[in-house]
Amino acid sequence: MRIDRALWKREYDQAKWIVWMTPLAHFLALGGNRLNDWYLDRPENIQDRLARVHSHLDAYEYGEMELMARISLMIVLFVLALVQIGAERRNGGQEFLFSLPCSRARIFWTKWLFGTVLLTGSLVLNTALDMAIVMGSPIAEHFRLWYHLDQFFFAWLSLAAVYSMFLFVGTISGSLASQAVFALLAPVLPYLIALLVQIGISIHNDSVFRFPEADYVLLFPVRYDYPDILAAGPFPWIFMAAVFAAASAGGMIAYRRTRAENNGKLVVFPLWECILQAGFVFCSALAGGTFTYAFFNASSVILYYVGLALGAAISAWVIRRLLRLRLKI
Amino acid sequence: MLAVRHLHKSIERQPVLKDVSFELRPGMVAGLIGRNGAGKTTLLKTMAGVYEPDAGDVLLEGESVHRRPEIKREIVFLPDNPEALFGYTAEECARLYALVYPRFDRAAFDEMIRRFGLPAHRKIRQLSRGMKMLASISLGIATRASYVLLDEPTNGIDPIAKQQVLSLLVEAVSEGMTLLVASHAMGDLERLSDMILLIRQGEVEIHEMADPSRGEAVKLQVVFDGEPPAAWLASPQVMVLNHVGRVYTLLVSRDDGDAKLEELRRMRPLVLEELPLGLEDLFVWKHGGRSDEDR
Repeated sequence: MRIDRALWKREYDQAKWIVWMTPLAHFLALGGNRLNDWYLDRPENIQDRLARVHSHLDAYEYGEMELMARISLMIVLFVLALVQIGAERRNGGQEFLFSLPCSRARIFWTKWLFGTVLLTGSLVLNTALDMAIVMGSPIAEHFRLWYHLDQFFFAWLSLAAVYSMFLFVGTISGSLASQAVFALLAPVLPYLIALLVQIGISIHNDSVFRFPEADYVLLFPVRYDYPDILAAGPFPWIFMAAVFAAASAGGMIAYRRTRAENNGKLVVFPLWECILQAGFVFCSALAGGTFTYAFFNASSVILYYVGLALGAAISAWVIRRLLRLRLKI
Repeated sequence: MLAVRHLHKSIERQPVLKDVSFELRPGMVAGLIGRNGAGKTTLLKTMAGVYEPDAGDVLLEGESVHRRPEIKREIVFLPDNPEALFGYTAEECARLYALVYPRFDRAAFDEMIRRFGLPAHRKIRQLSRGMKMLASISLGIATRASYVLLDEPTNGIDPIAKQQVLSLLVEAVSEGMTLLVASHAMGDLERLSDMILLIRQGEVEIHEMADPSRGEAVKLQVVFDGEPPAAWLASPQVMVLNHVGRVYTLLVSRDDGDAKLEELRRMRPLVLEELPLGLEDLFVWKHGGRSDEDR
């Protein structure tokens, strides 16, 4: 369809520098690093390194390069989501797209697909390059096809899930700045809430404090690492797939219903304003209680409640003002 | 026909459009006037599908543009600042529009940018404000869409660029396009429009250009014999548009028939002459000449 070509062209035009940067950054973190280690380094260093390789996991450095590649890709996808959603709210791009003869669902689908295809393309290209580099290197005897495939599928799912989350956050945020802040906060927010609640509980019943499960951290490309991911069973895969599906569907629904007249505000939906307001006050109150209790080395739980009340009052005042703002970026 | 039916839209819980209904017939030019913040841009954006209405609908040949957005191939919205196109050259814009609008007339677009001396290979961002608007309107007209919605097309551009923009719009109309033009340039609208939509307190009043006041008011030039009648001049049906020496230019409302005019005639003024009522007079009359209401 011509309109689909127009939407793809528009996405490419506004993000072309990211399109070229993605495989390059990916290559520098993965294939480039491998090249450096096994081809370009001084021969004695390569020999030293080779002497320490006893298994394929040694040869692949326990997936450290893939981890760096996933971090690079996550940063690139974060910027892409900002350009695709937040920046468009500011530069008139969203209003232009909404005036075109196509549905909002189709516009969002194109955006989502653009990022996903870019991710897939970079992974296919760089996995193939990496495989070729390993096969031609001194560690060729440790080459394992399934290792590369495991890494490929894990990287794809974990990154597609966080990219969908960044897009979803963008669809409810009203500006580039608020999307950036919420997108950085969203993946660690469940962990922070669990941490604050657990601290509160341990203060009240004098139990031994334990850090919450790390699964609450939704930064999947960093949270789960090879080879741990293989030992963890199906849970991480199912969890990532569930977040991927929920964030993609949530993004689509929110984009279709987006209220362009609220662009510039922290969030564009009145319902999300209420959620943000309640969540901000709740977290600030818990943080306030924790702070006063820890800072004054308190023996009484009353100080916790003083901090709780202060945190709630100050944050309620702050968020009311923040929600009235119209951000220029 | 493009029909707006019972449109309601609130922004930040403030009603901006209240039960707005009107129709644009093929080939007509409608001017959209109103104070700053009255809701002109909101109306255009809701008609273009940028904003979703709270209630009501916009129908193109009976079909909702919000439920079937693909029919918007016949509607082009041109904002007051084409910033979404800033990263493109005119040439690139034409290629993009050709993909979106199936009847995009590339030859006509090339002819327009040649005629106005617009650089085809410079980014729109780098053009002057007048050139930006010319590029944007040329794109809109070259789509050959049936309806073009323009927001402040002549705002902030020099007189020469303004004439060029207006000539483009006249050409578009002669080719059968329907235009809805939101503007504060009353003189331009007076020359272009067949119909005026006056937006006030969220509601739209329709005025045909043949009789903008719909017989509801009359514009007069009056010179009184002796002292001017202060009580009569201060009555709510009378508005003093201008007062130089003994010469008064007045708008007299016919809300209560010709009673006020009869009172005036009985005063036997030295001069009593009816003047043509212009768009600006209508605007001032409808807003009561006051500066701080209808926000």
